[in-house]
Amino acid sequence: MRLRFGITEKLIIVIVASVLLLMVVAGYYSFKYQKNLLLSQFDERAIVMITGLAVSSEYPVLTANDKLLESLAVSVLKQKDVVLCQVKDKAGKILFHRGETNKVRSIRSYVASVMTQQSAASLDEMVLGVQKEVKEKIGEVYLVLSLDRIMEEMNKQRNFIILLTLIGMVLIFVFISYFIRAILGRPIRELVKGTNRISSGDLGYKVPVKTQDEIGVLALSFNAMTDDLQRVTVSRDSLVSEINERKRAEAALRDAESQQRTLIKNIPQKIFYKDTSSVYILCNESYAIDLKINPRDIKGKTDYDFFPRELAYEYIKGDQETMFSRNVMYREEEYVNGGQKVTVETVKAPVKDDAGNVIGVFGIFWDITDRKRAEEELKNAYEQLKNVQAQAVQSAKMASMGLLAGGVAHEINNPLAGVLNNVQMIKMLAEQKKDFSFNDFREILAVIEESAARCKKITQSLLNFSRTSKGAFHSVSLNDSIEQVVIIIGHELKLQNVTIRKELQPDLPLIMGDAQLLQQVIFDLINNSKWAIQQKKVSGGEGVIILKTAYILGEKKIVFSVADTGIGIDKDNLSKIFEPFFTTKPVGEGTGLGLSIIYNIIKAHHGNIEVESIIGQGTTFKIMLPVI
Amino acid sequence: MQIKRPGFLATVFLFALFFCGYHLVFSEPTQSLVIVKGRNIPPYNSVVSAFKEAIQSHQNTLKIVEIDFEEGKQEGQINAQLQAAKPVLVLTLGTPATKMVRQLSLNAPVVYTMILDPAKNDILAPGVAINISSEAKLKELKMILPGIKALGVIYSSADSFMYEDISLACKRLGLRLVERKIDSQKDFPAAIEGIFREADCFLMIPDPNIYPPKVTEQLLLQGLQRKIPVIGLSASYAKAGAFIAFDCDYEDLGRQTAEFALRILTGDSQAAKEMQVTRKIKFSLNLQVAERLGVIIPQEILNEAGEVFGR
Repeated sequence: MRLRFGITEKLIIVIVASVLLLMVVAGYYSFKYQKNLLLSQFDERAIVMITGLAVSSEYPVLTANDKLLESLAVSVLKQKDVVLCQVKDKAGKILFHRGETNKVRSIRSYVASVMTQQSAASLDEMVLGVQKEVKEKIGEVYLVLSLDRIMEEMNKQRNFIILLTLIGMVLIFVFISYFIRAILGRPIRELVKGTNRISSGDLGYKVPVKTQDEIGVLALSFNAMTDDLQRVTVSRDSLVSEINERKRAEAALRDAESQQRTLIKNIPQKIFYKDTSSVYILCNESYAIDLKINPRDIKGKTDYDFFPRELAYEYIKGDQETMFSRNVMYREEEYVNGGQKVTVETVKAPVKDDAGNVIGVFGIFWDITDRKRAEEELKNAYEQLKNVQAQAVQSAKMASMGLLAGGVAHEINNPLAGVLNNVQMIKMLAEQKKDFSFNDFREILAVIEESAARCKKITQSLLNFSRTSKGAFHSVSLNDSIEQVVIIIGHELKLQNVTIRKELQPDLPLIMGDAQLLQQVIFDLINNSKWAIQQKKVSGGEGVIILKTAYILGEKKIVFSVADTGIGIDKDNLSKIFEPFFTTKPVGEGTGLGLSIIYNIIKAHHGNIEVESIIGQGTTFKIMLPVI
Repeated sequence: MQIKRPGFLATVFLFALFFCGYHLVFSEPTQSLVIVKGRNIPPYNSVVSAFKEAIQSHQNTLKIVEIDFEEGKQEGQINAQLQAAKPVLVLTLGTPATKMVRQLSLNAPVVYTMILDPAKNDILAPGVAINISSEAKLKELKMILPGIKALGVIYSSADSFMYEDISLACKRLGLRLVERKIDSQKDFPAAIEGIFREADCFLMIPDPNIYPPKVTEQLLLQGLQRKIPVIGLSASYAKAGAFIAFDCDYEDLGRQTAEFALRILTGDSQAAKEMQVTRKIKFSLNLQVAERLGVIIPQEILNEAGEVFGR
């Protein structure tokens, strides 16, 4: 069975083996050093002994003093490890010899010369003590030392070092094992555990980060990696989801395309798509039928292949303008279909790629010949209607004039009576030939002039009111228009016991409008108010009509209001009063067109009309018109 | 022959006159005395200094030339210097220098000094030896150690003359001589052992064969151990551990040698055959040794001592 080691065990084995090897080598060299040291100390001790013996032996060797030599040598022999001592003189004669080497296993021998100072060369040198330092060898000393003790000591030391190394090895093994397991093994196991958890799908698992060393950094990186993996997985799921979604979208798109193709195929409008050179790329069935071509064969054709040259030129010109302007263009064009010219409405739009570059033109057109014809007819009808409406307005106006005729006649009659009286008075005075002064004459003439001017003003107002509108807008003073209408209708209102109260803002800005139409509006509103008051008077009410103008500076609008104290309008009818032919008046008293015409006139003046009414209290029409 | 150019003769005369005048004024003295000094040590320097002073006080025109001798190396150079100097007298100091100079063929007398027993080295007169008579030594010794009765001496057959001198001095001064004659150094331990048992003082004699340095060391050591005063050969022995040592008075030796040389220079034929010995001695003491020996030295003795060691 093959053992499987984890990284921690491998690391422990490598480190422990390295340390052990180091310790063995260190132990070996330590032992070697100790051995050399011991031998060196041994040699030094031996040299000291033999040197001392050699020096001490100088005198006994010189004087052949055996006793002294023996005492010296014996003292050396008593020293540790010394097993043999021998002293010779310079002739080689043994002066002393003791000891044996048979009983020891290993020995080391030492030899030293016995030297002495040479005697003086002359007596005077001797006496003066100035002889030269010349040494002379007079003998030799031999020492043999046993290495047994030192070897035993070395063996002890070797054994001690081995024991120490073994203990150290065990301690280091235990320490390193514990240390590496604690420092590396545990975090690595955590990482392995994390890897297993993640491989089993637990992407949210986090390896605990307990240190800031490389393992901690690795754990952080691992956690970051799992985060990334989680994100990637989520992204993958999203991607799968997106792919499915896209497949669904593509299927939907295919369906839509199919539907579009079906739609395009069946759509009665003509559809085409050309490139930037106005060369056809595709067209729908409807257009292909007109062109008498299969839709698949349209590609590569141009309008010159199907239409007269001038017409084709116009079409292509329109294509190029559309692409150049980059805007959708609408136009009506002539189109030849079955040899017959028809009018079509064409919409051309530039086709752009994702970068916004125009890559072609899309066109759709349809036959509007019938619609054009209907529009023409409608236009004619509208014109006729407008004429009728104008006639109706004018008729209404004339009718109003008829209604006013009595009042106006009475209004004119008074100044005319004044004129007549004064003229008669002048005539009478002239016939009686009474003298009257020029000043009197001038006063009479002034009265006559005033009366005539009044008549003129009335008739002028009447004339203006009765004038047919020409449809042209000019600058108009709304206050003047109100005054002229009041002149016309004032007497009639008096007769009806209706009081007109004017609250006109002086210096009212002018507006752009048709004075005749605006007078018609004022007249009709006052007339309606008069009718409403009359209806109330029947029930015992009083009549007041308040004409009010004001300028709203912030909105640059004039507000003109006509308020009465008439019967008011039913709430249910308020929303209908501007509808044509709607009236609450009895048959024969109203056409139902008055307020409808007023509404249209005000709209034609870009204004607005509002109504507020309270049954039994009165009604207020408020008209807002823009100033110039 | 008619002299036509008297200016030329005048110029020659002037040159001759200038040359003679220069020679008279700047030429060196014709007589010189050469000193060949064997060693550059204080005793030699004292002798040379006193010698020169004494010579120049009598012969101030004599030029004294000093040559330092180094044995075996400068013989040729010294010979050349001596030949060039043409000395009227050569003074040699020490045995090696004297032996070397006496081998040269010089016309001048060679006077030696600072030699002990010149006859032993075959050195003959004239000269002043540094031998000190045993009687002079023992007289001084008895003044310092009045209680001594037996004087020990070791000698060999080569020292018979000296032994006789010591023997006579002992008889004259009433001392018993305890002597051992030895043939080699191997006999020394037994001899010294015997002498130290009998004598109460030991006198060294100058014999290198008996007293090599190690033996001298042992002698001084054993003398201290046995409380036997040892009389050394010179002040250096007293310094090394001898109780007392006798020396020449080297300054006086210089003056004595100078007087002797002047006699030779003045043609005293008798002087040329004389061998003088030093006429004045001085002693050196080792107070530390004396203290160990139990000897009390009076102050007046200390005042007379040339050198006192171990104060």
